[in-house]
Parts: sequence; C-alpha cells; structure tokens
Amino acid sequence: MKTEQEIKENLKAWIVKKNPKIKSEDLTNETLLMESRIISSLHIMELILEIEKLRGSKFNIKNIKPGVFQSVNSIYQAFFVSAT
Amino acid sequence: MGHDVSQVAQRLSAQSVKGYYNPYELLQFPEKIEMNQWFTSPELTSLFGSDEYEALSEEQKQKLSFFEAVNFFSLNIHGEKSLLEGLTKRLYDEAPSEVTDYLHHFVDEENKHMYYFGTFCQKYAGKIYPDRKLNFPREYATGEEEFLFFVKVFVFEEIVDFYNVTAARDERVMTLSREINRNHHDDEVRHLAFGRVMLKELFETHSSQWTKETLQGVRDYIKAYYLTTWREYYNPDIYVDVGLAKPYELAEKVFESPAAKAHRQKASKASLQYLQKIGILNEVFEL
Repeated sequence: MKTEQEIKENLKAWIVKKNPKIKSEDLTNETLLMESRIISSLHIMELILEIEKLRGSKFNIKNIKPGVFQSVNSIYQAFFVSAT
Repeated sequence: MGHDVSQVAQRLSAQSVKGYYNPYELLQFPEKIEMNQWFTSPELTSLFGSDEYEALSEEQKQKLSFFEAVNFFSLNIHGEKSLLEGLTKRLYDEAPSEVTDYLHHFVDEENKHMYYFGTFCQKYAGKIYPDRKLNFPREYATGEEEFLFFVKVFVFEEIVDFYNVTAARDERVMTLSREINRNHHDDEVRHLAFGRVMLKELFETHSSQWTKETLQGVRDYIKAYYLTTWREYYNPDIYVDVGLAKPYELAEKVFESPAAKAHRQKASKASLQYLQKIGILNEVFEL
C-alpha cells in the first residue's frame, strides 16, 4: 500500500498529464480542481480508474458524494481514508 | 426547427413502422452457451495487435472475446440509459410533431436493444459491467446543452455502429452475438440519420450566437468526449475476468499503443469527417 504522500503525488502527476495547461509547481493538495476547470466531468471516468488502481479495489460510484473531486486532499479523504 | 429535420423524421418514422418487430420473438436466448467460440471479431478485442494478445492461447482469446462482448453490451446499456433520459425529456417539447412521432420510435427501439444487451450479459456473464461516468452540472450558452446532448448521441452511436457492422458480418462470431449486432445496426442506421440532421440543424441555429470561447469549448468537449468514450473500450474489468495480470496497467498500455490508436482512427474516421464537413470541427484530431 502506498503512503499518503505517494498517493497524493500520483494523483497530482495524473492531473498534470491530463491537463498540460497546469504546471506541476502550481498544483497543490488544496487546488480547486473542478471549480478551476482543471478537470471536468469528462475526466472523471479515467480519474476513477486511477483511484481504483491506487487503492487496489473498485468502489460503487453511486456512493460518491458531491464535492469529493474538489481537490487532491478531498479525493484522498474520500477514497483512501473514509469508507466509500 | 427546420423543414429538413421534420422531413427526415417523417421518413424514418415510416421505416420504423414498416420494420416494427417483437423483441421476444425475434431473438432466442438458449439457457447455456459454449465458451469455445468467438463472441466478437478478434480484431475488435481491445488487446488485438499487442504482445499480450499474441501471448494468449486460442481458448484465452475466445474467453477475452466473450468479456469484450459483455463490455460492449454493457457500454451500450449505460449509453442508451442516458440517451433514453434525454429523448424522453424531449418528447412533446418544442419540436414539431414529426420529430415527436419519431422520438417515440427512437425510444421504443433503444429499449428493445437494452433488453437484448442486458439479457445476454445477465444470462451468460451474470452481470453488467458498472458505469464509471459521472456528470456534474455546469452552465451552458444558449443551445449549447441541447447541441452537446446530440453530439454525445452521435459520437457514441457512430463508434458503436462500427463494432456492430464488423461483428454482424463476421462469420467467425457466434450466431446470437452476430444477430444482436445486426439488429442493433439495422435500427441504428435510422438513429444515425436522425442524429446527423439534428446536429447540423442545432449547430446552424445556435453556433452563430456563441462566442469564440464557447465554440472552442464545444470543440474541446467533442475531442474529450471521443477519448472518454473510447477509453471505456479498454476496461480493466475485462482483463480481471480473463485472469490477466495488472489489469489497470494493461488497459493504460494498450490504450496508448499505436495499434489501438490506428484502430480508433479507422473506426472514427467517418464521423470525424462528417463533423468537419458541416463545420462543427475545424480539424480531424488524433484519437
């Protein structure tokens, strides 16, 4: 199992890869991802695959609450700390 | 809404009435099926052209084709559920009566397709692969949301039709799967014709009022939607069921491979060219 820091770094690397307009040095764990249009609804399917890969398990998207994709921190909290 | 759309809708309604069928009589689903056969064309399986594919035995390749078919049918179920939501919302709305009449056929036919896809998946795989797409509300320019709904229908159905036609014509593919694909294609020909004329009409009506940024946003969305739609064809759940190692990494690797990119470009060529021809896209991008 990866550490918290490793997971967050993986998520940030994924975000930068999907949106080359954002530089890695400008992306923090608190950066607003949806609100700043860094990621959109169309990125979510691939982001879910990335989260599943990092978690090593699937989850039911019906249980996803609004706002979980707000930032790297909120993604970590929702999918790697809290039960989803 | 223009004269063209009403005329096309009227013509398609007549064809739908003429070709009306009872889905419970048209296709029969045996209790059990043999696994040592092809459920889709080998060339349509997501691993085709990769070293990983070549390393599989014939038995594993056919097992892969079964779960690829389950994935394809599952994608159709999820896509058609969204489509039905959108279509029923538009029934008896602002469209001319000819369009509403055709929407009834569209809804009826999509519902029948879902019955076929769902029955195959549930009966022989015991499941439907889950959907990983989510949609968050956002603001749209005038006509943009309506236009993007029909763009999604268009992209989704054009890709699906490439698979339907290929599998339906392939004599290596087991009969039931070929028949499901053939039936779907027969109805989709009309849906595609309707989708094309609707897209053209909506673009001509609304795009002149959009800002440069909105138009660019629409074009970016279309490209992203193509890629997202295609990414679902490389589903790690398939590789788990076939018993392949590192399914997520494998899905990423094959998606990025030159063979897969060439396949996507070939399958999307006609739809991309159409979007460019009517001015919706200003370039044919790489997938």
